[in-house]
Amino acid sequence: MKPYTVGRIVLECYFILLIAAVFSLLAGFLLQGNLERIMRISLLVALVPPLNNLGGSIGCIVGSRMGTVLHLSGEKGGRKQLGFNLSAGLTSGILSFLLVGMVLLFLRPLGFSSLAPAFVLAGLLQTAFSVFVSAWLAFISFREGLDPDNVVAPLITSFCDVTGVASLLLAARLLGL
Amino acid sequence: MNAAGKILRQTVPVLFLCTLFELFAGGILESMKEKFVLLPGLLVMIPPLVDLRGNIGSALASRLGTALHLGIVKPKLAMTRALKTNILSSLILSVLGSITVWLLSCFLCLLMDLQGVSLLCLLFIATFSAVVSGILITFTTVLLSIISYRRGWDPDNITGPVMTTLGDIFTFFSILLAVVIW
Repeated sequence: MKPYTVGRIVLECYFILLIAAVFSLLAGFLLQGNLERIMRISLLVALVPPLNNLGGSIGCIVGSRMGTVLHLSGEKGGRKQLGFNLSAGLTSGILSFLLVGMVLLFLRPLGFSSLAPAFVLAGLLQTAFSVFVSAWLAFISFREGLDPDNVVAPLITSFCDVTGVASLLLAARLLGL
Repeated sequence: MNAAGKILRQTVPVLFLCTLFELFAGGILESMKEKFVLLPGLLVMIPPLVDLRGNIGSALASRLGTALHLGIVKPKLAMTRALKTNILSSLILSVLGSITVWLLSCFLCLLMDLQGVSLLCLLFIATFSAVVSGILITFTTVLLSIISYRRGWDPDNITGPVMTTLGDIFTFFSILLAVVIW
Protein backbone atom coordinates (compact mmCIF):
# COMPACT_ATOMS: atom_id res chain seq x y z
CA MET A 1 0.00 0.00 0.00
CA LYS A 2 1.26 3.51 -0.91
CA PRO A 3 2.17 5.70 2.10
CA TYR A 4 -0.26 8.49 3.09
CA THR A 5 0.64 12.05 2.05
CA VAL A 6 -1.48 15.21 2.41
CA GLY A 7 -1.17 15.85 -1.33
CA ARG A 8 -2.36 12.37 -2.30
CA ILE A 9 -5.29 12.33 0.12
CA VAL A 10 -6.44 15.87 -0.77
CA LEU A 11 -6.14 15.34 -4.53
CA GLU A 12 -7.76 11.91 -4.55
CA CYS A 13 -10.53 12.94 -2.15
CA TYR A 14 -11.20 16.37 -3.64
CA PHE A 15 -11.94 14.93 -7.06
CA ILE A 16 -14.30 12.39 -5.54
CA LEU A 17 -15.89 14.99 -3.22
CA LEU A 18 -16.54 17.18 -6.25
CA ILE A 19 -18.39 14.37 -8.03
CA ALA A 20 -20.22 13.59 -4.79
CA ALA A 21 -21.20 17.26 -4.35
CA VAL A 22 -22.67 17.36 -7.84
CA PHE A 23 -24.84 14.32 -7.08
CA SER A 24 -25.90 15.69 -3.69
CA LEU A 25 -26.84 18.94 -5.37
CA LEU A 26 -29.35 16.94 -7.39
CA ALA A 27 -30.92 15.95 -4.07
CA GLY A 28 -30.98 19.65 -3.13
CA PHE A 29 -32.54 20.45 -6.48
CA LEU A 30 -35.25 17.80 -5.91
CA LEU A 31 -35.96 19.22 -2.44
CA GLN A 32 -36.09 22.83 -3.63
CA GLY A 33 -38.31 21.81 -6.54
CA ASN A 34 -40.72 20.06 -4.15
CA LEU A 35 -40.72 22.85 -1.55
CA GLU A 36 -44.50 23.16 -1.76
CA ARG A 37 -44.99 19.45 -0.94
CA ILE A 38 -42.40 19.66 1.85
CA MET A 39 -44.14 22.65 3.41
CA ARG A 40 -47.53 20.91 3.11
CA ILE A 41 -46.68 17.42 4.47
CA SER A 42 -45.62 17.84 8.05
CA LEU A 43 -42.42 15.94 9.03
CA LEU A 44 -41.71 14.70 5.50
CA VAL A 45 -38.44 16.62 5.37
CA ALA A 46 -37.54 15.31 8.84
CA LEU A 47 -37.33 11.79 7.37
CA VAL A 48 -34.79 12.81 4.73
CA PRO A 49 -31.69 12.74 7.00
CA PRO A 50 -32.44 9.29 8.56
CA LEU A 51 -33.32 7.77 5.19
CA ASN A 52 -30.28 9.15 3.35
CA ASN A 53 -27.99 8.39 6.24
CA LEU A 54 -29.05 4.80 6.82
CA GLY A 55 -28.83 4.00 3.10
CA GLY A 56 -25.40 5.63 2.91
CA SER A 57 -24.18 3.92 6.08
CA ILE A 58 -25.00 0.45 4.77
CA GLY A 59 -23.09 1.27 1.60
CA CYS A 60 -20.19 2.58 3.69
CA ILE A 61 -20.03 -0.63 5.72
CA VAL A 62 -20.03 -2.84 2.62
CA GLY A 63 -17.53 -0.55 0.85
CA SER A 64 -15.27 -0.26 3.87
CA ARG A 65 -15.27 -4.03 4.48
CA MET A 66 -14.54 -4.70 0.81
CA GLY A 67 -11.80 -2.02 0.95
CA THR A 68 -10.05 -3.83 3.80
CA VAL A 69 -10.41 -7.26 2.10
CA LEU A 70 -9.07 -5.88 -1.20
CA HIS A 71 -6.08 -4.26 0.56
CA LEU A 72 -5.32 -7.43 2.51
CA SER A 73 -5.81 -10.08 -0.17
CA GLY A 74 -6.31 -8.46 -3.57
CA GLU A 75 -9.09 -8.85 -6.09
CA LYS A 76 -9.23 -12.65 -5.94
CA GLY A 77 -9.69 -12.55 -2.17
CA GLY A 78 -12.27 -9.79 -2.64
CA ARG A 79 -14.34 -11.93 -4.98
CA LYS A 80 -14.33 -14.79 -2.46
CA GLN A 81 -15.74 -12.50 0.24
CA LEU A 82 -18.21 -10.70 -2.04
CA GLY A 83 -21.28 -12.91 -1.62
CA PHE A 84 -20.89 -12.95 2.14
CA ASN A 85 -20.55 -9.16 2.38
CA LEU A 86 -23.50 -8.55 0.05
CA SER A 87 -25.82 -10.78 2.05
CA ALA A 88 -24.61 -9.31 5.36
CA GLY A 89 -25.23 -5.78 4.01
CA LEU A 90 -28.70 -6.59 2.71
CA THR A 91 -29.72 -8.30 5.96
CA SER A 92 -28.46 -5.42 8.14
CA GLY A 93 -30.23 -2.87 5.93
CA ILE A 94 -33.59 -4.63 5.83
CA LEU A 95 -33.53 -5.33 9.58
CA SER A 96 -32.56 -1.76 10.43
CA PHE A 97 -35.20 -0.12 8.21
CA LEU A 98 -37.92 -2.40 9.59
CA LEU A 99 -36.84 -1.63 13.18
CA VAL A 100 -36.86 2.14 12.56
CA GLY A 101 -40.23 1.83 10.78
CA MET A 102 -41.62 0.15 13.90
CA VAL A 103 -40.26 2.95 16.08
CA LEU A 104 -41.90 5.54 13.80
CA LEU A 105 -45.23 3.74 14.29
CA PHE A 106 -44.82 4.21 18.03
CA LEU A 107 -44.03 7.91 17.59
CA ARG A 108 -47.71 8.61 16.92
CA PRO A 109 -47.86 11.60 19.30
CA LEU A 110 -45.15 13.33 17.27
CA GLY A 111 -47.04 12.62 14.05
CA PHE A 112 -44.57 10.18 12.49
CA SER A 113 -46.83 7.11 12.35
CA SER A 114 -48.59 8.02 9.09
CA LEU A 115 -45.22 8.36 7.39
CA ALA A 116 -43.84 4.97 8.57
CA PRO A 117 -44.97 2.94 5.50
CA ALA A 118 -43.47 5.50 3.12
CA PHE A 119 -40.22 5.44 5.10
CA VAL A 120 -39.91 1.63 5.04
CA LEU A 121 -40.82 1.38 1.35
CA ALA A 122 -38.26 4.04 0.44
CA GLY A 123 -35.74 2.34 2.77
CA LEU A 124 -35.94 -1.06 1.10
CA LEU A 125 -35.25 0.55 -2.28
CA GLN A 126 -32.32 2.41 -0.70
CA THR A 127 -30.82 -0.77 0.80
CA ALA A 128 -30.81 -2.75 -2.44
CA PHE A 129 -29.29 0.14 -4.37
CA SER A 130 -26.70 0.96 -1.74
CA VAL A 131 -25.37 -2.59 -1.13
CA PHE A 132 -24.84 -3.57 -4.76
CA VAL A 133 -23.51 -0.24 -5.98
CA SER A 134 -21.00 0.11 -3.10
CA ALA A 135 -19.51 -3.36 -3.68
CA TRP A 136 -19.22 -2.62 -7.39
CA LEU A 137 -17.55 0.74 -6.68
CA ALA A 138 -15.00 -0.94 -4.35
CA PHE A 139 -13.86 -3.31 -7.11
CA ILE A 140 -13.81 -0.65 -9.83
CA SER A 141 -11.79 1.81 -7.75
CA PHE A 142 -9.31 -0.88 -6.61
CA ARG A 143 -8.83 -2.00 -10.22
CA GLU A 144 -8.15 1.62 -11.25
CA GLY A 145 -5.41 1.92 -8.61
CA LEU A 146 -7.46 4.20 -6.32
CA ASP A 147 -7.92 3.56 -2.61
CA PRO A 148 -11.50 2.21 -2.18
CA ASP A 149 -11.46 3.73 1.33
CA ASN A 150 -11.33 7.19 -0.26
CA VAL A 151 -13.72 6.49 -3.10
CA VAL A 152 -16.68 4.32 -2.11
CA ALA A 153 -17.97 6.15 0.97
CA PRO A 154 -18.24 9.63 -0.61
CA LEU A 155 -19.84 8.38 -3.79
CA ILE A 156 -22.33 6.00 -2.20
CA THR A 157 -23.55 8.55 0.36
CA SER A 158 -24.18 11.08 -2.44
CA PHE A 159 -25.94 8.57 -4.63
CA CYS A 160 -28.05 7.65 -1.60
CA ASP A 161 -28.94 11.34 -1.08
CA VAL A 162 -30.51 11.43 -4.51
CA THR A 163 -32.15 7.99 -4.34
CA GLY A 164 -33.31 8.71 -0.77
CA VAL A 165 -35.06 11.98 -1.60
CA ALA A 166 -36.43 10.58 -4.86
CA SER A 167 -37.72 7.35 -3.30
CA LEU A 168 -39.27 9.21 -0.35
CA LEU A 169 -41.11 11.63 -2.63
CA LEU A 170 -42.18 8.69 -4.82
CA ALA A 171 -43.34 6.62 -1.83
CA ALA A 172 -45.28 9.62 -0.45
CA ARG A 173 -46.98 10.08 -3.80
CA LEU A 174 -47.75 6.35 -4.19
CA LEU A 175 -49.28 6.22 -0.72
CA GLY A 176 -51.39 9.30 -1.49
CA LEU A 177 -49.78 11.65 1.05
CA MET B 1 -20.86 -16.99 17.07
CA ASN B 2 -20.36 -17.26 13.29
CA ALA B 3 -18.99 -14.42 11.17
CA ALA B 4 -22.35 -13.32 9.71
CA GLY B 5 -23.91 -13.21 13.15
CA LYS B 6 -20.98 -11.17 14.44
CA ILE B 7 -21.37 -8.61 11.63
CA LEU B 8 -25.12 -8.30 12.18
CA ARG B 9 -24.63 -7.99 15.93
CA GLN B 10 -22.13 -5.17 15.39
CA THR B 11 -23.94 -3.36 12.57
CA VAL B 12 -27.71 -3.53 13.22
CA PRO B 13 -27.66 -1.91 16.70
CA VAL B 14 -25.29 0.81 15.44
CA LEU B 15 -27.38 1.50 12.34
CA PHE B 16 -30.61 1.46 14.32
CA LEU B 17 -29.32 3.86 16.98
CA CYS B 18 -27.73 6.13 14.37
CA THR B 19 -31.01 6.35 12.49
CA LEU B 20 -32.87 7.28 15.65
CA PHE B 21 -30.30 10.03 16.25
CA GLU B 22 -30.78 11.11 12.65
CA LEU B 23 -34.40 11.85 13.52
CA PHE B 24 -32.99 14.66 15.70
CA ALA B 25 -31.14 15.96 12.66
CA GLY B 26 -34.44 15.65 10.80
CA GLY B 27 -36.14 17.61 13.58
CA ILE B 28 -33.59 20.43 13.17
CA LEU B 29 -34.29 20.44 9.44
CA GLU B 30 -38.05 20.47 10.05
CA SER B 31 -37.64 23.42 12.44
CA MET B 32 -35.75 25.34 9.73
CA LYS B 33 -38.57 24.97 7.18
CA GLU B 34 -39.57 28.63 7.33
CA LYS B 35 -35.94 29.65 6.63
CA PHE B 36 -36.02 27.75 3.35
CA VAL B 37 -38.73 30.12 2.14
CA LEU B 38 -36.95 33.21 3.54
CA LEU B 39 -33.49 32.22 2.24
CA PRO B 40 -33.92 30.77 -1.24
CA GLY B 41 -31.04 28.51 -2.22
CA LEU B 42 -30.36 27.32 1.34
CA LEU B 43 -32.26 24.08 0.77
CA VAL B 44 -30.27 23.43 -2.43
CA MET B 45 -27.01 23.68 -0.48
CA ILE B 46 -28.01 21.53 2.50
CA PRO B 47 -27.68 17.99 1.06
CA PRO B 48 -24.22 18.62 -0.49
CA LEU B 49 -22.94 20.42 2.64
CA VAL B 50 -24.17 17.70 4.98
CA ASP B 51 -22.95 15.01 2.64
CA LEU B 52 -19.52 16.63 2.29
CA ARG B 53 -18.94 16.59 6.02
CA GLY B 54 -20.07 12.97 6.28
CA ASN B 55 -17.86 12.06 3.34
CA ILE B 56 -14.74 13.61 4.77
CA GLY B 57 -15.40 12.03 8.18
CA SER B 58 -16.19 8.59 6.83
CA ALA B 59 -13.28 8.54 4.36
CA LEU B 60 -11.03 9.47 7.27
CA ALA B 61 -12.64 6.73 9.38
CA SER B 62 -12.29 4.23 6.57
CA ARG B 63 -8.59 5.10 6.04
CA LEU B 64 -7.93 4.89 9.77
CA GLY B 65 -9.70 1.48 9.86
CA THR B 66 -7.36 0.14 7.20
CA ALA B 67 -4.31 1.84 8.75
CA LEU B 68 -5.08 0.36 12.18
CA HIS B 69 -5.58 -3.12 10.66
CA LEU B 70 -2.30 -2.84 8.76
CA GLY B 71 -0.43 -1.38 11.77
CA ILE B 72 0.45 1.93 10.03
CA VAL B 73 -1.41 3.85 12.77
CA LYS B 74 -0.94 2.52 16.28
CA PRO B 75 -4.00 2.31 18.54
CA LYS B 76 -2.63 4.99 20.86
CA LEU B 77 -3.67 8.59 21.41
CA ALA B 78 -0.32 9.91 20.19
CA MET B 79 0.25 12.23 17.23
CA THR B 80 2.19 10.10 14.73
CA ARG B 81 3.13 11.26 11.23
CA ALA B 82 0.50 9.13 9.47
CA LEU B 83 -2.19 10.39 11.85
CA LYS B 84 -1.16 14.02 11.44
CA THR B 85 -1.27 13.66 7.63
CA ASN B 86 -4.79 12.25 7.84
CA ILE B 87 -6.07 15.00 10.17
CA LEU B 88 -4.54 17.87 8.18
CA SER B 89 -5.92 16.50 4.91
CA SER B 90 -9.42 16.29 6.36
CA LEU B 91 -9.35 19.88 7.62
CA ILE B 92 -8.07 21.21 4.28
CA LEU B 93 -10.74 19.22 2.43
CA SER B 94 -13.48 20.54 4.70
CA VAL B 95 -12.82 24.19 3.83
CA LEU B 96 -12.02 23.57 0.13
CA GLY B 97 -15.09 21.38 -0.25
CA SER B 98 -17.49 23.90 1.31
CA ILE B 99 -16.36 26.69 -0.98
CA THR B 100 -16.83 24.34 -3.93
CA VAL B 101 -20.34 23.44 -2.75
CA TRP B 102 -21.16 27.15 -2.47
CA LEU B 103 -19.93 27.80 -6.03
CA LEU B 104 -21.89 24.84 -7.42
CA SER B 105 -25.02 25.87 -5.50
CA CYS B 106 -24.81 29.43 -6.86
CA PHE B 107 -24.56 27.99 -10.34
CA LEU B 108 -27.57 25.72 -9.78
CA CYS B 109 -29.61 28.60 -8.31
CA LEU B 110 -28.86 30.62 -11.44
CA LEU B 111 -29.92 27.70 -13.63
CA MET B 112 -33.13 27.28 -11.61
CA ASP B 113 -33.73 31.02 -11.89
CA LEU B 114 -34.37 31.25 -8.13
CA GLN B 115 -35.31 34.79 -7.06
CA GLY B 116 -33.91 36.62 -4.03
CA VAL B 117 -30.80 34.46 -3.43
CA SER B 118 -28.18 36.14 -1.19
CA LEU B 119 -24.82 34.76 -2.38
CA LEU B 120 -22.95 36.38 0.51
CA CYS B 121 -25.29 34.82 3.07
CA LEU B 122 -24.90 31.38 1.48
CA LEU B 123 -21.09 31.78 1.45
CA PHE B 124 -21.11 32.68 5.14
CA ILE B 125 -23.28 29.66 5.99
CA ALA B 126 -21.06 27.30 3.95
CA THR B 127 -17.72 28.44 5.36
CA PHE B 128 -18.85 28.96 8.96
CA SER B 129 -20.34 25.49 9.14
CA ALA B 130 -17.20 24.06 7.44
CA VAL B 131 -14.88 25.39 10.11
CA VAL B 132 -17.07 24.57 13.13
CA SER B 133 -18.19 21.11 12.11
CA GLY B 134 -14.89 20.22 10.34
CA ILE B 135 -12.91 20.52 13.55
CA LEU B 136 -15.50 18.69 15.64
CA ILE B 137 -15.86 15.83 13.17
CA THR B 138 -12.18 15.24 12.47
CA PHE B 139 -11.21 14.91 16.10
CA THR B 140 -14.22 12.80 17.02
CA THR B 141 -13.42 10.40 14.15
CA VAL B 142 -9.85 9.87 15.31
CA LEU B 143 -10.94 9.27 18.89
CA LEU B 144 -13.69 6.86 17.89
CA SER B 145 -11.48 4.83 15.52
CA ILE B 146 -8.77 4.35 18.09
CA ILE B 147 -11.17 3.60 20.95
CA SER B 148 -13.18 1.07 18.94
CA TYR B 149 -10.01 -0.70 17.75
CA ARG B 150 -8.69 -0.89 21.30
CA ARG B 151 -11.95 -2.41 22.47
CA GLY B 152 -11.69 -5.13 19.85
CA TRP B 153 -14.48 -3.79 17.63
CA ASP B 154 -13.78 -3.60 13.90
CA PRO B 155 -13.58 0.16 13.16
CA ASP B 156 -14.89 -0.57 9.62
CA ASN B 157 -18.23 -1.64 11.12
CA ILE B 158 -18.52 1.14 13.69
CA THR B 159 -16.94 4.43 12.68
CA GLY B 160 -18.55 4.89 9.24
CA PRO B 161 -22.16 4.91 10.45
CA VAL B 162 -21.41 6.70 13.72
CA MET B 163 -19.40 9.45 12.04
CA THR B 164 -21.92 10.11 9.28
CA THR B 165 -24.62 10.45 11.94
CA LEU B 166 -22.60 12.68 14.26
CA GLY B 167 -21.40 14.56 11.18
CA ASP B 168 -25.00 15.24 10.15
CA ILE B 169 -25.97 16.42 13.61
CA PHE B 170 -22.85 18.66 13.95
CA THR B 171 -23.44 20.04 10.46
CA PHE B 172 -27.16 20.75 10.93
CA PHE B 173 -26.38 22.51 14.20
CA SER B 174 -23.58 24.56 12.65
CA ILE B 175 -25.82 25.51 9.69
CA LEU B 176 -28.64 26.49 12.06
CA LEU B 177 -26.13 28.49 14.13
CA ALA B 178 -24.85 30.25 10.99
CA VAL B 179 -28.41 31.08 9.88
CA VAL B 180 -29.24 32.47 13.34
CA ILE B 181 -26.00 34.55 13.44
CA TRP B 182 -26.69 35.91 9.96
